[in-house]
Amino acid sequence: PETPVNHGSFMPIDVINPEGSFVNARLPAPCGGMVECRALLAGLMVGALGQAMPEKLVGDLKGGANHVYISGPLADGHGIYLCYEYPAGGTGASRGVDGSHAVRAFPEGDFNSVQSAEVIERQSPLRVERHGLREDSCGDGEFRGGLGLRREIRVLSAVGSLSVLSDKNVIPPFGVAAGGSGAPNRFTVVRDGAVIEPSPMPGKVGDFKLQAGDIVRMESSGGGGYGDPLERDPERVHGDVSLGYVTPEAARARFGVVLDRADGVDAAATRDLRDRMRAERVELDLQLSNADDWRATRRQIGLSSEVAARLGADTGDLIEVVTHSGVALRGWLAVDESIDTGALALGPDGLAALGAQPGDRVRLNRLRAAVS
Amino acid sequence: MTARRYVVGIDVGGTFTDILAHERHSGRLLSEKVPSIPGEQWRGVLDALTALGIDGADIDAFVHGTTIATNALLERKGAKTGLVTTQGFRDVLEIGKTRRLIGGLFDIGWQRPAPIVSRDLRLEVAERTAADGTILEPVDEAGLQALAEHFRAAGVQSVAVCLLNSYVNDANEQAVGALLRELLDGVPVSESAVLVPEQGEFERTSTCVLNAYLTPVMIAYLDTLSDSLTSRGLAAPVNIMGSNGGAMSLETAAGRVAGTFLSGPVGGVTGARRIAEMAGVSDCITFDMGGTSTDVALIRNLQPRLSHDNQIDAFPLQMPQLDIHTIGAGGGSIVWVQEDGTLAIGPQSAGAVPGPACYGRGGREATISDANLLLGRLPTARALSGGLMLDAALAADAFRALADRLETEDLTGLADAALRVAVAKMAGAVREVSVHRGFDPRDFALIGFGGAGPMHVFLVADELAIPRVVIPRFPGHLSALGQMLADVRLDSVAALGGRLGDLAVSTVRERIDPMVDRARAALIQDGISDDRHQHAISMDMRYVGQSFTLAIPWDASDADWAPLRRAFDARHRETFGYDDPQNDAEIVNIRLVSTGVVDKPNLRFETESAEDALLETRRVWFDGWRDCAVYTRPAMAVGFEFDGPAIVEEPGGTTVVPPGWSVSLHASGVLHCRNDNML
Repeated sequence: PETPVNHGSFMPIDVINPEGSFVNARLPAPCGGMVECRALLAGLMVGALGQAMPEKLVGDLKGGANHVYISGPLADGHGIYLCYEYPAGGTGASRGVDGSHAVRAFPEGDFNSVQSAEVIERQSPLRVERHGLREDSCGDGEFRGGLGLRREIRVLSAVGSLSVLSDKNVIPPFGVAAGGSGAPNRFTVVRDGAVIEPSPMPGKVGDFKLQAGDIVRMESSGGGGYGDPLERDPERVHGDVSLGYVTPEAARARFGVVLDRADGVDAAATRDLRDRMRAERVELDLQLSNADDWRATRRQIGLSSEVAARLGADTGDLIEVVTHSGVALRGWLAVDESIDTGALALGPDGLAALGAQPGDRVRLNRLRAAVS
Repeated sequence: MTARRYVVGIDVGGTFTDILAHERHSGRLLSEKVPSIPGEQWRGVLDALTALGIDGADIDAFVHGTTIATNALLERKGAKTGLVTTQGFRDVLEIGKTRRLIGGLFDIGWQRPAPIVSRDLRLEVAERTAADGTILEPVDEAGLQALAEHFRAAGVQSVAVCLLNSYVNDANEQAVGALLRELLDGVPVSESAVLVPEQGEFERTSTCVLNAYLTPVMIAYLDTLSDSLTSRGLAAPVNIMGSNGGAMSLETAAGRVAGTFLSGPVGGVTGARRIAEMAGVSDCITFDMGGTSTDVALIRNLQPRLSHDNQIDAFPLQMPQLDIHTIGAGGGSIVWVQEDGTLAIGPQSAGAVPGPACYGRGGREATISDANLLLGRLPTARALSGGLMLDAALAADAFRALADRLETEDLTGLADAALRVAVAKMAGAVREVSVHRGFDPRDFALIGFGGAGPMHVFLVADELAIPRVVIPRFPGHLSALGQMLADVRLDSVAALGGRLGDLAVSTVRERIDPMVDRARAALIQDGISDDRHQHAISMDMRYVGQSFTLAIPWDASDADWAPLRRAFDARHRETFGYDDPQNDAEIVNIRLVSTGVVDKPNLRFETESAEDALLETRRVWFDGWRDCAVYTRPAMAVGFEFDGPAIVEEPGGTTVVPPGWSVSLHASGVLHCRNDNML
């Protein structure tokens, strides 16, 4: 990034994208959401390059553009208003570097992703009620991801419409090198104090009917973490808590750091808690199975009921497999009593994505509930 | 005996503090240069007065350019600052509109710079003003008291208040400010709409926070300065240069610190503007190269460009500033070898102490000045004016260390290469203010000044095929001259927001009248009687649906909008290549520039010495060693002509004229230089 982009920058790069693939569609395949695809590719490249250059690994980003459209009739009855935003999320962590909060990430250019509240309120019957950081949304890690954005816009017109095109609302941005996932993107409506899901499919909303007084709540994802969160310098966790980026509860539950109100980090309690959390981790040895197990578009990860219970998870829950060197592999838990309790069987593609070998020891995490 | 009376300009640069004094009865200009003292700029100011031997009581007017605000920000040495925002908006300062604002493209390890006010000191108060100015909810005073208590416990030294929509109605913001002043005795409070009554909460918050952060630093500096000047017998008011190119009183400066970031460099631009006028040049690019940095600005029709949406470091700054581009390369900039084996220049500078290696004051690292010495462009057999003897052996030692790393024996080639790298960087800065703004630099004359400007300006002109260069008299003191010539200036703005089709001219006049009244009162308070006031109005305009505005001057005596609309369409065509007469246009802001015209010295530059102008002929490197005439400028008479290669020495600057250039001394005192090969 230090040198100006020039012809030579691209000489080492060959692009191989066979026609008929996801990134080189054949007519009449439906196309759209270009930014969503591009963002997936950026994550894929990071994961692939990370196997060759571990020092270049970086936690995943918010997914696509997070297009949000709020529209309705103008107060004078002439025409409609349209408020269009695409809120940025937290950036991924990398070796030695925490992610940054709610900001354009490295592959994204540098233009506004939200508008000034004063401009919105001047142009539309909308009132912006919050433009802030989404606490605790970072991916955990020795270096944590950045926080996402929390933004709330109240509808003042009698009626309105909400549409959203957003990715990573279910499967959150991944962590790397044993780092944790960022919180997923989430778009909801608050009506009379109750949170409503505007669509059965999170992140994909078409013309949801808004009423006067509704609040559109946009929560963009945090960036993926880098490294084991139990290895994070407790003082850094303390710093995040004192600035309100991370709550004391999350410091304890996710980073194993115990804070004392007066003195900051309680070193002894932190050591004990971290030891206990390490002991409670679910770790298994990898085995190679004949084929990857897919049910429609969802990777299945089979575990015995005993292991599932230790994870606190059940069939249909989202879990992930992490190693100390690469990108996390996600899948949907399928409890199967015929499975060996001490081992985790993955197909060849799963192993390749992890960059792991049979016999490697891996850790399993249950992912925080995607939709709460 | 004639009383000696002086008008004084003092410019504190990164390396030197320059003083220029105009002696009224004789019309003479006196100049001196003393080292700047980092952290204690006021001492450099006193040293400069001492060096010139002027008694404080003999000074009629005193204008000063200072880099206090800029330095304190870049070193993060401002006050511990608290920020008060509307409920729900405390993170606006940190998030903005989610842009990085400084680089980071394709850099996975990029980290956003920490905001000036950390999150624990950004507190929210329950209150709300609507976009039309209606107060939806008054300020929660109980909440504000708790907030003040938090600030007090945290040791907050300065407070910024920026509430949503305060640019339309700042009643709540004013209420918060007043209560905080009462609760936090002695802590300065900056209110956003007082500084920037314009739409855009992020830019307004950022500007207000910068102002609050730097206010205690500036007040401490101004207090020390004014005390020490008073102890020297100074009775005349001290004025500070503002970023807008005008001067302001100490009191005004203390309240608008965010308006002083360019206090140093603007002096050069206003000085160069005056010199250009005297020299009959209306379009020019100023090239002000000092010891640490180079500032460039474009002047068209004798008007420096003004910009309102600025940024300092990673932070938006919504204050009118002259459009000056600065890069970290000056005469003292250190030449070094990067990891990949290529040469780089600066931004580290050897400063005044120890200074370049050739100064013999303990500097060991190679600098741009050392490179010039190795190429014969600075004298080694004679002292520089100011008495400094340069040591070529020390310069060679410094470059030999680089040569060893690069495995070369050719010190001359290396010095030449270092200069080329520096020139490429400086040419980039000139492109930034010209090509990137839609101007062809070849249509402008380059005005070279600052301690190192005249030595490098021709190299930059050659690089960009610019055929005309102007070198002012006293090139090393032009910034101080600009300060001496500065009028007092006050910029005010009011957000309007209305389509021409819906707006009555009388409504707008009603908005302008109180702005003018306030400006008039402020100028009178700064000691300028109202027969010397000038007020100019312009409108920030756009077509309905656009988001960028153009500033269009408006004559308040116009009976309707037709002349304004015609002027806007014309400017739009000129700027963007088309206009849109079918579409309605809207006024976003009213801008008022109020000027208090001060007496200016009548500048005369005369031949000061009867000696022969030709000092010597020596070997100087210009793509090979060439015989080169060396002149002394004070002995040149008007009409004196010579061709490059040539060198002109004078107090405060050395001009290096490469082959291909013809030079003549103009009646105004400037050297007019042209390169006919490029015309």
